[in-house]
Amino acid sequence: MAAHAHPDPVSRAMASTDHGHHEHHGMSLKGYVVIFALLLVGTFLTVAAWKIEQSVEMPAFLGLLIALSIAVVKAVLVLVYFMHLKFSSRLTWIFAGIGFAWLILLMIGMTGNDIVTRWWLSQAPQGWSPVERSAIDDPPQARHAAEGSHE
Amino acid sequence: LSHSSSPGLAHHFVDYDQQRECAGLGMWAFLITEVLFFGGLFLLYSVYRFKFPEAFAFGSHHLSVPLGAFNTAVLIGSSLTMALAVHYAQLGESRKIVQFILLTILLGGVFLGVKVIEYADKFNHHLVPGRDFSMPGAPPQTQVFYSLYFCMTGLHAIHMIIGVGLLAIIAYYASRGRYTPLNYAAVENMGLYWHFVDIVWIFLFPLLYLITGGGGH
Repeated sequence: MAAHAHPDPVSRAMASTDHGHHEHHGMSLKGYVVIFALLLVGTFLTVAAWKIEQSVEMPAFLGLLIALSIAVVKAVLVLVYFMHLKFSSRLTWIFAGIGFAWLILLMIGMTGNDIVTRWWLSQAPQGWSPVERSAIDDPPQARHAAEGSHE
Repeated sequence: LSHSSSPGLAHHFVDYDQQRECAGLGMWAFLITEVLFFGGLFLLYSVYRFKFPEAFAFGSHHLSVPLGAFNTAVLIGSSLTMALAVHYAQLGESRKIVQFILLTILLGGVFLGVKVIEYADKFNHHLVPGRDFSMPGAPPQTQVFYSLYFCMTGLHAIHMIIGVGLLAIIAYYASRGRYTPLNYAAVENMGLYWHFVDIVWIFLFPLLYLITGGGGH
């Protein structure tokens, strides 16, 4: 019967959550309210940490790290419980993961890397010839314009 | 397989579960493009905050943390009512679906209303980037911060406005009894969209409103 209902592997994979017909893909009402309360607590902690940072001497990146860590936890709570990933098939997990994988690969891995390493190069004068440094600090077009105005 | 007795089930699907999961995957694929859409702005933000930390802290001090925190709570509340609407869609209780979607619309409206108040304040105080921008003592790059503020919260607000419109359509169909425990993919996908917009704001709030250091005001 099952083989007849899902004749090909794709259909079988897509029906992988098919454990009985009227399966409930979610939580109890109380569960949703608990997640809501946790998200509110997270918001409160974010603002409280910001308040404390105003009076305590600490490096700026630490405040950013705290705020982003709380934001990531909140986002995961929304993804897993409100967006029902917990009750979804592996295929749905892969789809959800791909978005963040691409975000990291393209934004941080490639474009972000490009920008950050350019900054590194401009910060590292030792061992670099003046020509190499000036190619980073002011591109050839800008140099041409500057030389033209001198003459 | 005869589908004449299966309302709302397209003929190319084996059963309702397969149809719903397929619709869900399509929605997730759309959300991948949304992640990259917003991701570009977040990258731009990261680069300029790294480059002009003082200007970002200076600009951030003028944003109202109480209003931002209030809006964060409102949006989290709207995510709860949206999740409950999906919950009642799974149970096939049309009246409850309509009630919770209307609540979600109401909370979305409150969020947008607060946003209007905040934007009006920026216009009144000459904080909109351009020729009229004026902020005494601000580093010139403070305009970069406000450009990103308007781009990121603006794109987010456009998503909210579209979301409210879609919610109204879903509420209408729910009131006509269109969604059943077997066939509620539209409500579920509406929820995915709404929660995604919530996640974007979860990151926007600390990144725009809660910048410490630099200016030291």
